[in-house]
Amino acid sequence: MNVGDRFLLFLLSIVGLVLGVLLALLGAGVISVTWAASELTVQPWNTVCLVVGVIGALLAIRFLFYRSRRGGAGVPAESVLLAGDHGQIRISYETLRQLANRRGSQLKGAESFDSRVRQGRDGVLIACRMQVLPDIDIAALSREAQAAVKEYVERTAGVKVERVIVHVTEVAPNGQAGKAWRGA
Amino acid sequence: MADMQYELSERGSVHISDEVVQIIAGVATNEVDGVLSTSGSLYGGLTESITGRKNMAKGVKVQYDEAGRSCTIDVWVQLRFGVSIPEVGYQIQEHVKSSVESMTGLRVDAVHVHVVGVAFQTDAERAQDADQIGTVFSQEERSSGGIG
Repeated sequence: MNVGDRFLLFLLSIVGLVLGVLLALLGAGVISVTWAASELTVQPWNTVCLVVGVIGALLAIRFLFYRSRRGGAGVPAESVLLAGDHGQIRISYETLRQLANRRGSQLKGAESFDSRVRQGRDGVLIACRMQVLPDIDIAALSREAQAAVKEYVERTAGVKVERVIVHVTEVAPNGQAGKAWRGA
Repeated sequence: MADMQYELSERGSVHISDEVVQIIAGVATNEVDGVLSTSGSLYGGLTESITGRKNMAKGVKVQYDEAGRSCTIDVWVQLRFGVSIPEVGYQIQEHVKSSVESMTGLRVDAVHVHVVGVAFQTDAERAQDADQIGTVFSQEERSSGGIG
């Protein structure tokens, strides 16, 4: 979601909040229905109601038919292109990220693993962030992560991985030694 | 999108709705081993949720070339973890092309496959995968004397 959409969503939230509070106050009898009806149908509040209503409706329609840039049919996503016999095969970066995360999470000593994928000159670049267990040989684990992720992504997705960049963010606190893969 | 219409013989013409080709392609895609689901827009997902029926046209786009009596098909898919993505992609192309061509008589110029994600089919598969990881760890720990 880009900055513009986030701003529109913020506006929609504000409109929804204001309308929700007003309805709640009306329902609770704090605001009189007859008073609200008489005030909101005369200048300048009728103009305000009209503008807020139209803006709210347009924003609602916008997000009702909102399509994410990632994964929606008909919308190009960041992807790697393979040539097939009868057309193209596009593998989204999100797919490569899920594959890298799955393999990285299987490594002994990696407490948590996350990755980002972007295009390189001669293949894709995979940047990994890893939280490691205490008393682990971090250099060896990083090398293992690079080799394992590269091999797995290349074998499964059939795309060339130019580099795997490993960033060890921190050592997991003691007492979090048990680990299991929790999904991509 | 305009529907496809072409002359079959002197007795009349054949009119094929775009949704027919979408459904044929969607069914063919879901038949391929390794495909978890087709991945459509939010609207397609809402339709499925409201009607409670699987929308087989979801995640499929068809572009007709009336002059050449052919079409180009785009499918958006989510695959199962562990499969070879190019291999499944080729199988999708083959199966969709042969299904659409045999059932409609249209020529399929290209089938573009968009892989949008990989996932486990069931929670059981996910749990099994986690168990396998645990087994690998315990075996490695036994052989190396544990972590650290």
